[in-house]
Amino acid sequence: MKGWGWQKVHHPDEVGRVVERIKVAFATGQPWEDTFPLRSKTGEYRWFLSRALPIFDAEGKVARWFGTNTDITKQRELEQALRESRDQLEQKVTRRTAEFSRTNEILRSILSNMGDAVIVADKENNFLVFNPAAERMFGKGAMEMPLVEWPQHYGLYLPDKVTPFPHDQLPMTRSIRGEEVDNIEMFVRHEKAPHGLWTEIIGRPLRGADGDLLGGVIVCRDITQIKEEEFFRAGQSRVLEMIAADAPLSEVLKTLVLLMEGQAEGLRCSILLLNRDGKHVRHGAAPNLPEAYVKAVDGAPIGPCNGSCGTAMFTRKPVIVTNVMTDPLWRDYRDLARICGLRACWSTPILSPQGEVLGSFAMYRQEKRGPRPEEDRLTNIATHIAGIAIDRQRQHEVLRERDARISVAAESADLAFWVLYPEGDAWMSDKGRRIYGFDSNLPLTCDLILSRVHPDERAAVKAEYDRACALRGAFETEHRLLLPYGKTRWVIMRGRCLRDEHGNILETIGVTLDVSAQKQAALQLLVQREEMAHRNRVALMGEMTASFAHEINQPLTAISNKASAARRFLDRGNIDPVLLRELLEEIAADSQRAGEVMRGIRSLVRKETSEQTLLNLNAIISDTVRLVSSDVLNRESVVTTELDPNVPGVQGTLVQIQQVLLNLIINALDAMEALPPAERRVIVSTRSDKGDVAEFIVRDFGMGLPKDRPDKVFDHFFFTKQKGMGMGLAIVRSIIEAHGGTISGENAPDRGACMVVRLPAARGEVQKSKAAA
Amino acid sequence: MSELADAQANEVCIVDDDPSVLKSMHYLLASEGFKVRPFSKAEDFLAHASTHHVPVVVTDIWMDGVTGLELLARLCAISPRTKVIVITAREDLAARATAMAIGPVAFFMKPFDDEKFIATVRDTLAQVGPE
Repeated sequence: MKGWGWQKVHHPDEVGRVVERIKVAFATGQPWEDTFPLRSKTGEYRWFLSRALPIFDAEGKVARWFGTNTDITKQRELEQALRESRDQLEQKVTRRTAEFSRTNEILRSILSNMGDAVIVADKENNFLVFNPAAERMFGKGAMEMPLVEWPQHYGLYLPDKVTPFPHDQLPMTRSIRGEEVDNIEMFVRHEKAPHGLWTEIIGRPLRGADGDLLGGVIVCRDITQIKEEEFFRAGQSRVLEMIAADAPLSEVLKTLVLLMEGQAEGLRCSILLLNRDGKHVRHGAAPNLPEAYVKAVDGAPIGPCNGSCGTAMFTRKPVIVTNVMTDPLWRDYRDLARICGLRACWSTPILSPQGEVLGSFAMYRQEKRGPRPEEDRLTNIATHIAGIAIDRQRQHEVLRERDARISVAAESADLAFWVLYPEGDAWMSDKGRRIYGFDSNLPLTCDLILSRVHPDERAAVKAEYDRACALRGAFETEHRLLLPYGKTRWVIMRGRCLRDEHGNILETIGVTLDVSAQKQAALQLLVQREEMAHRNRVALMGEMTASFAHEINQPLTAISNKASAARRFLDRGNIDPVLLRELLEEIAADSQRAGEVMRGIRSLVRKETSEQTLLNLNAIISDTVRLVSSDVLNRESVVTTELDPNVPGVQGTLVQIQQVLLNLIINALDAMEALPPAERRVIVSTRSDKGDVAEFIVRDFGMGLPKDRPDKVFDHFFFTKQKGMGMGLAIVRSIIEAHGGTISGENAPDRGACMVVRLPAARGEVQKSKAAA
Repeated sequence: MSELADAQANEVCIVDDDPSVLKSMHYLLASEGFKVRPFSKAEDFLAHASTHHVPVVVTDIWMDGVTGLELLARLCAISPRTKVIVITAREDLAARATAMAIGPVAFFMKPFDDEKFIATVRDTLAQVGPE
């Protein structure tokens, strides 16, 4: 260590420090130890541990220094590496710890601040997480308790709001069991939420890294507002449905008011109607306002200063009164309001789609304030729906009044109104239901109405209806209805198809007229006519007794004589069997003849004469003239015939045509009683020159018909002769007209009367007569 | 008295336009042995009566064409001695009175009692007697 040359191998940065240490050591004689870099031969610095111990002499002075330098470069490098590694680890741990703590912080923050309730529980039903939202939602925090107590403790109910949620079906229970549950609706009610709230819950099982079931987690969302909005909408739909179903207006309005009141705490509502006079109000609905108040308002006038409602209807604008105790509009109602505890009243007029004031909707509160936006929204909805309801009811009233007026008219006219729809259903007025024998509640169909038509006529009526539908036109039928218990009615049914712009049938409307009474009268008239005709025939019989006696006595005489002759021949014992046989056969033939005469008489006397056959006029005339011949002789008169062989046949009732001829011939004979016998002539003739008409004429040579009015003779009870039958010619005319023919009376050019009867030729008879001609 | 005259003396003429009635009277009188000459038309009988002796005629009143009343009237002119028996199917007092006034010996309503009728014919024939 002689000299300081050694300093050269020291690192320049360290040499100062080392020299100082050495100087101190030398001065103090203290051993020292140091580490420092020394430059090697290669020029690189290596670390050495240098230790120096003083060696003292006897006097205790430092004799010399003993020192060692140990290369510790390797050791230092290891230590350095170790240190670095430890530092890194420390840094990492610090960082990770910070990160974890931040994540935790975020999670906690999320859980604390999120709106949805999050609850985590382990397999033993112990809550691990119960975030503040969950505490708010369920009214209290996590508490240790048996699972079965959860529903009662936290106020958990099924959506019916009253049945406690079964604990084994709770979303948490199911999640812990390993189920995934989605969108479970639960109603929650506890002391902090006395009105309850709605929650929608999602649940998932909680699993460890190895998939082991650790517990469950549920997330509960408060859907109370959505749910209430849903209920509110459903409530509106219900009211609209009531309107559509034509529920009574008072019920509709009451439901509407209750719906609105349910939307806000402490809200009271009312609906007032404006009278048709446009000047006074009428109670509409106010289910939760004091009765005294409702009564006081009912019938009150509207005006510029008539409370909230009366003023709103008068001005057609909303009237907001935030304090009825001070507002001048309420001057007249203030005491009433005070008694009833009403402080604020906001009223809005209800308008029809045409802008006509129908009434008002009002909101009442017990505190002084104006409406909030939510309440404005409710008012808009309420006035809109109330407007629909009231307007519809007004229209119904108008329709009902019109219906009633039409019904009164229809009832008095025995008219049924009906509407048939192409879908097959039908409507009918009350009178119609009575005519058709339907109960008032029975739903009607086209088929049901058709089923009332008499089976004999049903197909024809259906065909007529179908034809009208096909042509989009109108129809009219007269037919019978066959009602329950066999009663029948005669009706006339008239209908018309209504079409849309494309020509499709919308409905068929029409009326049915009950004409049973008229039909009955017509039938009675027919019966009366038949009765009169019958009497006329009986009277004719009386006139013709001579003829009848003769007609019957002739064969009777023959029979009597022949029977006597046969007996006498037998008595004398010389009868020829051939003669006897001839006599017996003739007796039989004479009997037949007598029978025929009797039958002819009987047919004239019989009442029913309606059977129609094809008649030959010439034959009838010949027979009839023969029948009256005895009377004609008796009257010292002559009846001759001038028959046209080509006269066409007619469809008719034999007896009735005979009756006509007998009446006309006897009238003709009567008309000539005053004449000398030689002049008493009747000519019965037929003519075919009128084509499709068969004509016969009875002509006499008497005094003729009244000059001024020849037709007067056909009037009932017109008669000129003493013993005549006044009804005769009237009956003749009714018979001829019933056969579709005509009869006219005219005076012949020289003298006497001609009765000209024209009957329509039977079908097919015209051609025949032409061919013959 | 010739056979013909004898035959005519017992002959009864009958007039009726109803063939069946005419035939029945023919049988009735024949059954009692009378000789009978039937006529269905009054004109034919009157023609016969104008050329033959007719003691008795039985005639109907109501006939087509010439009636029994006309026959009676004309017979009075042709053969006033001929006895007439009237038969009719109609009861008519006026006609009867008229007929009686002209002079028939009897009047029968159809149908009539055969015994009385035959007795009347027989009596009448006896009254007339042979010419």
